[in-house]
Amino acid sequence: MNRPDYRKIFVEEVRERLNRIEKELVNFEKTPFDGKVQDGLFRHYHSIKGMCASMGYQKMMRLAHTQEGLLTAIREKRLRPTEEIITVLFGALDMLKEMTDRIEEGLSIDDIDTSPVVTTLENALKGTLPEPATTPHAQSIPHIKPHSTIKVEGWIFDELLRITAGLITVFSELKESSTTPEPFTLRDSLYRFEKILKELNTHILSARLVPLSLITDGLARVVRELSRQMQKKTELTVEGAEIRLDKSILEALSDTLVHIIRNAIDHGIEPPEERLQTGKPGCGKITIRAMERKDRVIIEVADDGRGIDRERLIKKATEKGVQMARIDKMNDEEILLLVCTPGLSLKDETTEVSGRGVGMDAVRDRVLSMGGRLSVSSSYGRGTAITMELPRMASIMRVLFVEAGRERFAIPVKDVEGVMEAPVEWIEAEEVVFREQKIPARGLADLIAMPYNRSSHTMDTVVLTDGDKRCALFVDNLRDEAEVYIKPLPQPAALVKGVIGYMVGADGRPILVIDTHHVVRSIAS
Amino acid sequence: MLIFLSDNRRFAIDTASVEGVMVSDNIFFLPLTRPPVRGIITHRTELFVVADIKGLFSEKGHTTAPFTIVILGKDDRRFALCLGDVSPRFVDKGDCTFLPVHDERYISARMRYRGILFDVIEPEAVYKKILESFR
Repeated sequence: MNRPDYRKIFVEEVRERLNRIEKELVNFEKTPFDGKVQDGLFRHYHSIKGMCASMGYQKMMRLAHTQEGLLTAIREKRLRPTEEIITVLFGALDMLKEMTDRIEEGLSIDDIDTSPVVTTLENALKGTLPEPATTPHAQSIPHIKPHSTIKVEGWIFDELLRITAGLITVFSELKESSTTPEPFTLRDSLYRFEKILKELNTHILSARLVPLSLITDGLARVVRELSRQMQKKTELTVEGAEIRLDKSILEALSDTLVHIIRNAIDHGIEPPEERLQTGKPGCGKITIRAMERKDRVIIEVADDGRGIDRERLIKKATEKGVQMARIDKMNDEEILLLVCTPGLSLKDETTEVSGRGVGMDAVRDRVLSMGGRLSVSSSYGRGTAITMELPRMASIMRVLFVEAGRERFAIPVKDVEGVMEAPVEWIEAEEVVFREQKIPARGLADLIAMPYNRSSHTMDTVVLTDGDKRCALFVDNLRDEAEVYIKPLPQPAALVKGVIGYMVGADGRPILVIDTHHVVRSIAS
Repeated sequence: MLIFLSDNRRFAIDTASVEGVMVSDNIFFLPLTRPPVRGIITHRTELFVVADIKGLFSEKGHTTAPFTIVILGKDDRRFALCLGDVSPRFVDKGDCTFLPVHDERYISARMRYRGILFDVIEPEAVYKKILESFR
């Protein structure tokens, strides 16, 4: 029965159940005698055992069976569910995950030595558990890996079938038009063709939407393990996990959320005794709140920890080369964003968890590369909130094409406030007057270190907006607008500042999409 | 092994790290980078940063069209290496012998094939250089 197609189904199902067990074990630790939580865990272990048996993975089946035995002892109150016992169960769960990964890659699991984990489970069952430090995988931070398979509701396929039928009809019409060219018929068919294509695109994008819970379900475990490492107590609450985002955004988001949570536990949440002294409950709280706003999704990660000390932040930022004159002009929101300065860490010591200054700048870059925005708010002594505003669907965007320095670029139309012609004196002054307001301006060619292609005394100008900030961009030529499919830049191209992605033109030429947020901020500063 | 001649110097690349070979008339602009980064290209709808072999091994100049480009690397550390107007060919690794080299930039070994010596390019070292080329 162990054929590759069955194996794929097996891996997906087992992985989904292991993820659910991971989430349920965190709940089980809090409420071990909650019948609903217990039933859920037994159901998942039982299903995994059955699937392993039918596929012939005896080793995996025995491991799941031993874990089930431990849970039975707890359910029958023969064993007390201590933190160490739960850690043992998590360790065994990690081994099941490792085996699943091996099976997915088509590798054998026979050479995986399960005996240390099985012995620990058996010792736990007998009540002779070794010291916590020697429990398997006690220190591991799980990697959050969203499923590669998307579950699509049946009606979407019905719709796709209907759309395909429409496409076939229009194709026949177009074919007929090509033999007897009737301009009106051709235009009509092309109009319908475009309409069907848009519909097709909408449905495919809907099919790609997956719930945020695919990654937040695994975060409770991450919080548990990180808190244990840091000898802190933290509870995670997730609101809005049912909100759906494009699969590519969700994949990019998983590491970003882990980064933010890591920082929150290490820098934000205080040790229990310190919290109690300041009148806070001993257990810290991290809340992930997801909200929908038109075609965007807002994800906030808030902690009730010590907050950001602005004076210390400014001191650390200047040590990293940020000029005080620049900081003096910043508002509070901009000052807090200094946490994203490359290499900046608010900790003096590096820990295993964080403090190497490679966290928040990576978070910001990732959010920007997804076409999103990042903001930070913090109340000293009361906590910090990191907010990400992300597009729900990353792929399709309306852009304005422009030319600068003999190259073509695309600018997201949503950030374009207007276009105009700038006279030579404005270009020289690097300032334009737009709606009776003077706004700073620069040449796009300047920003990308290319020569101007100035053929007249005026230059086409695009006025860009980003929140409350505005700036103007001189370009060689304005071209047309179009709805295009934007892809994120892969590494190492993603290192280029001021570009959020690329599209491929009809001639195969890659066209870079300007990161308006970065451009506006750099011109304004 | 993939072997080719550039600027009278013979090079080899292990095919284990070669994902594809293409010929293109254009390499497109990538802002705020310096040599050896030459630009970007798309290959099977994926975008790759292109490093120029002359930028790596010669002091001045860069290759001219038509460009033979090799897609190299693994996972998320992939890039394209522009070899210039050359015709690379594949040879059996079993027919080659390898000699160690010491501290030669972007070269992992020296390879002897039918009595002729080739410098074996180390993709990982080239990738590291590419990372340093972003301003």
